[in-house]
Amino acid sequence: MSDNKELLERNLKEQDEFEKNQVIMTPGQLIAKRFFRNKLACFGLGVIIVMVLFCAIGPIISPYGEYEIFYFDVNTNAEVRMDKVSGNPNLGVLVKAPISASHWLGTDADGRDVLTRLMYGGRISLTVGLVVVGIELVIGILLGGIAGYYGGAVDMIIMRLCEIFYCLPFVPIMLILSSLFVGYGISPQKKIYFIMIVMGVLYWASVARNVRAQILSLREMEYMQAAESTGIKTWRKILKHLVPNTIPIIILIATMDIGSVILTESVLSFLGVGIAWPYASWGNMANVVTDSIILKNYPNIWAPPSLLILFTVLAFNFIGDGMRDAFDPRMKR
Amino acid sequence: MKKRMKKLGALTLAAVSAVSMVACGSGNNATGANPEAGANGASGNSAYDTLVVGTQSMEGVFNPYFYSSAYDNQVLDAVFSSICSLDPDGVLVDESGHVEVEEKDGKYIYTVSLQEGLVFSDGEPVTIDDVISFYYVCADPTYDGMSTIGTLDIEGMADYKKSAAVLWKALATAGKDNTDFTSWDEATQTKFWEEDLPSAGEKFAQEIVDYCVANGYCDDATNVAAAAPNWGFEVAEGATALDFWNVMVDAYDGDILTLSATETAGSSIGDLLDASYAEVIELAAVDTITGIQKIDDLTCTVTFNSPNISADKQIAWIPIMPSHYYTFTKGDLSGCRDKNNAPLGSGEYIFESYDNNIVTLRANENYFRGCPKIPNLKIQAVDEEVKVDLVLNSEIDITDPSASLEIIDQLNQNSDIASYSLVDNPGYGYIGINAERVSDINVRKGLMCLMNREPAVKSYYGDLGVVIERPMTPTLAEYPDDATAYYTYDPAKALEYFEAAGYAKDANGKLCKNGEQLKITVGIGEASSHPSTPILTQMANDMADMGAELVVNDLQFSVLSPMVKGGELDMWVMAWGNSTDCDLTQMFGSEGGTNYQRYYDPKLDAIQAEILKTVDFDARKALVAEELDMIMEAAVYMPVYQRKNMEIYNEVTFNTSTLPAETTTYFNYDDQYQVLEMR
Amino acid sequence: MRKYIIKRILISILVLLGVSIILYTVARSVPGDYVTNITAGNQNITPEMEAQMREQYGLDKGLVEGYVDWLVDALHGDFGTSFVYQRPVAQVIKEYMAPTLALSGIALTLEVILAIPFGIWAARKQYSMTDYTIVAIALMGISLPSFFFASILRIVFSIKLGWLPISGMLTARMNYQGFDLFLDYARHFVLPIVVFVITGVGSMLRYVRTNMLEVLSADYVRTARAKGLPEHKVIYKHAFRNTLIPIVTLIGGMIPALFSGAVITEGIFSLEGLGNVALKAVYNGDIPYLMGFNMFIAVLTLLGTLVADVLYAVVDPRVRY
Repeated sequence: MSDNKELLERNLKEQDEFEKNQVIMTPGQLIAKRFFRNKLACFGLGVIIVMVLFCAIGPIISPYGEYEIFYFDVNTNAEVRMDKVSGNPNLGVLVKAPISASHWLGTDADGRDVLTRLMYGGRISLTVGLVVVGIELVIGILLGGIAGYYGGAVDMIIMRLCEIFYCLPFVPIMLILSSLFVGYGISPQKKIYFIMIVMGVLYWASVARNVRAQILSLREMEYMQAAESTGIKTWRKILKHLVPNTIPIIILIATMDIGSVILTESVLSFLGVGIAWPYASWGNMANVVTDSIILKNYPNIWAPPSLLILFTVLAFNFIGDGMRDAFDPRMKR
Repeated sequence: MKKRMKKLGALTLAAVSAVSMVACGSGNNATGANPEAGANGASGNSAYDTLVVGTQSMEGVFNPYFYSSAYDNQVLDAVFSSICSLDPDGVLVDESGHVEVEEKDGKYIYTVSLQEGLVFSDGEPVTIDDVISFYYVCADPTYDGMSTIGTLDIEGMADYKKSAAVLWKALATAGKDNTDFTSWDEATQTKFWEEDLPSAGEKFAQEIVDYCVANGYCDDATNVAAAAPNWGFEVAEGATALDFWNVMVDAYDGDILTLSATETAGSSIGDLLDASYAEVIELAAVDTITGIQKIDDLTCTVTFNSPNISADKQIAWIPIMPSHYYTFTKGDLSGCRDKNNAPLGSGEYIFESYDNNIVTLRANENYFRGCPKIPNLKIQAVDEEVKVDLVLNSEIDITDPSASLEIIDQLNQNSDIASYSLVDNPGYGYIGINAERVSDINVRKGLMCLMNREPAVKSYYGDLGVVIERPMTPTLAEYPDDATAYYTYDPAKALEYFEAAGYAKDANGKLCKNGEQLKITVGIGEASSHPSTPILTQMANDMADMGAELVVNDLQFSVLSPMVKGGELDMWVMAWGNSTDCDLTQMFGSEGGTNYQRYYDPKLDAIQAEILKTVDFDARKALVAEELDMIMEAAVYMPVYQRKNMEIYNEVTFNTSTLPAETTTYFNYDDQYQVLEMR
Repeated sequence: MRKYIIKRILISILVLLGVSIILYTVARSVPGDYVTNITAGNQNITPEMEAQMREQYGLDKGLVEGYVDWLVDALHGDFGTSFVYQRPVAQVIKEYMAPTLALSGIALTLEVILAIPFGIWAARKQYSMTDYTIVAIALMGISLPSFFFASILRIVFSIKLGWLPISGMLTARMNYQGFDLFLDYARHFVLPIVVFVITGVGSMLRYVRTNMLEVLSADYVRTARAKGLPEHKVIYKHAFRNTLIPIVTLIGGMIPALFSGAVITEGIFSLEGLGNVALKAVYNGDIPYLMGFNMFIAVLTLLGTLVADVLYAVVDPRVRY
């Protein structure tokens, strides 16, 4: 009997606790809880934090410039920095130097410090990811939202526009536009921003489609009908009821796309139209793998940028997956 | 993609001449045995019956008239034989024919003759008509290939080329007062000059004004007077577009064609005229080029109006193409065009097929020097980055990677599998400065003093490249070997030059003149892994220290090239290739088509004209040295390097003792396919 | 249904018009054109020769006139002659189609074969070690650029080990016939296909997994479980069948990928397929080919979505038009 009572008490207690937990947890906390249950997602988050710190703080600590080249004296083998070159006729460029105390990851095929370039390159790669995704989200949410909410002719036109952008071949267009930038005298520093804008503009279509689909289904929900019947203003309906409910899918698209944009940038660099020389990006640093001599003999040049890309993109993917699982309220398991 | 870039880069090196010489042979060939010894060897004992040559991506235009890729031409080399070819020293020697010159009444008569008994691979005999037809096709009014034979000063050539033209060009050339109405009637002519041309001209001028507005040179599309000065013309205040047009016509003395080609802001006059003016009309019944005369079945003469030191190469170093196969009539070359995928000639090999990136060729039994010993030749397009690995894995037998110190290391470690040869590339890399954009010679000289070439070339090429001091390839005998550096790297000196040009540091530490900072824009193709990259990096750094700015644009070759041509860059990095003579008029003459630096000097023109007429070598060499010094003094061209070309051979499959005894810039394995043997 | 399809096709024509206008404008606005490219570096070309060549290639025309000409010809089924290949565009596409189709066809099939079972497996064991391992491996493939995998695989399997050929489509030295020829092709395609699969399977697997997870938490699956059905029956009879719908749309979307080719992979392994040819066209300013080929892909893309939507209706009887 006492056993039973004890059991009953424990059950009650558990139930209390359970209810207590249920009551305390906001939806955000629930999502966070589900998110942090996913170990891969936690790992991803950790990696991204480390990367951001590395790129943000690294360049401040590094004693070298992003595109500073190093020379060496042919007779003494002593390293000579760029501003001390004048008047010395016996110099060679310090290309493909091995790992040393002054160059922790050696120098690349043009005689620049690999570690320093990794830090600057990371800044570019991460910025490209964030900005491109930002642009595609702004355009995509705006047009997708309008199409989904108003429907009819507006929807028709925007969706056809989507299809047109869907049919545009990305690589050829990037190649052609990139050469256009130069043709119209856009300097290498500014070219980066133009590339980001073009990528964002070419990518908005899928965001718009997703947002539109989401809004379409939300419009049919009972609570929207309820909101409708209370007679609130359109903008309030959109801001208060529709937008918050599209946020999960937007965050999801964002995390997933940052990774793929970083990869796309590396492919563009490989094709010779990405981030312009002399600036570094992980993508243009990694594409030395196609040089079989570097691939065979200089892992210090090709492996670090490749690994950083791998971990970063992987991390964004893990986070994206974790978020999706976390956001989905039907995931009860 | 890197590979693509390299390929396009290599197109720069594409032939100067209509004919061959793709990869350029080997000098210190490791085996170096006498080819005759190999020639007597028993070819029946070979374990392999196919020679595989690795080249780069081909375009499949296997037609000597129309190819544009140097790699397509590599195939043509094996299929066609030529009248003359180059020997190891770069001297023209007889191949299947012979050429002789004599001077008569100020004209130069070249007699081209063929050997007796030559046949094409289809069994048809070779006659002089097959040679003459080559000249005619290249001179055809509708010809659009790469051969420059049509531009030679051959007697009657110009008349033939001009004997057919599109209507508006013909009308424009004939002039307002033309009274010859054989090809068009008077009404057409009157309408053209009175109505259509002025209205097209007005559009043409308006387009220029619109262009100026679009690019911010002036701000009002109706204000013609403000736009015209941007184009170098002065028109009265309140003038119309039509007035502007008339001013231009006057400036060109009524030469509408040149006007249209030079001043255009997009459309040519022809675009702005009615489509009926674009028709091709026969202007004169000129069916022959008077300077080309057939003497007998195997001989013809070609008469030049003026002396030309490379005329013999231009007319004799051409492939012999069967006129019964490559048929044409004046104005219609379709019978030649449709043979792109089926070349037929009298060379060592017969074209079989091109697919899967592989050209398959089989030995030609009718070849006049004897059937080649290797029954099959395959030319395969491979990736530049893996050429060495392909040879080491015995997938291919001969190829030409771009030489680097690491490749040499790798080959030395595998000397039982592969051997290599190095020869000087008949070209050079340079940094050019546009004299119109950087008009102050002191600024140009200052820039020259900032180019630290030695460390860059030394670490990039090692022994595989040398810094050169004059803008001409040292493979030419006329190159002044004793030339020393004209400008040495010296930032202090550079600053002096800039100051002499009127630049001074302002309060913000910027190097300014009239309030404008010294800013130079430079273009380079594929900067990462370019020998000139460290030079520019250093230059940018030094200029930043001085308060000036160097903007480096890393461009695709296909973008760089038009920008350089269009004069849109202050400075650029490029290379010349396949130079076969010391005629520099195209690059440095006032009329030169490739005078990208836009530096025009009558004294330079005079000395160039002198060089072309100077037959005596020593005198010519002295003149060339003088010319090159003048170019250096003008500070428009900084020669950077001359590199070596590499060829590698597979020792396992290929009998390297059958290679030429001495392979040079001008003579390599593909000039003697018939004696090569496999193992 | 038929009305729906006709309407979609009519709309697609409008979309194609838009695509072609954008493409043509972009292609023509490049600073250098084909003539500049082929004459670059040739010291003897005169401006007159260039002008003459430009006229021959129709590059002297203005943008609007050029586009209208192109459109009129295209509507007559004539896509012009490729500048680079000097042959009709349609013929060039046909010629280089085989390697691309073989490569992407086999690779996409393999991707489907791998993605579906592993995706389901991972979904069933969500948050387990199995799930993490499968997802991590699959995602690694989409976390590095394809040129990276291509280079690494080649250096290991071709250059170091010598098991597979380095590049190309055939062993030039051998004159294989019949089955040996087929085997030779196959050997050359192994690495490109592997690269294609590695870089493509990740996103598909993730797609399958997500959809499976969604279905597994659906009410009818819970009902099926509650009925006491054996687990494999629940999974394959109830859950999997319902994930088929999104998978079908995914496959519909893959149709254009069959032809557009993998530019990078084809380039690195020197496979002369459509991707490689298209890249060459861009670099050379081969406008007729660029237009012809990309319009072909655009048609396929629209066709793919249409087929997917129609299949959707076939697979899912609830969908009505």
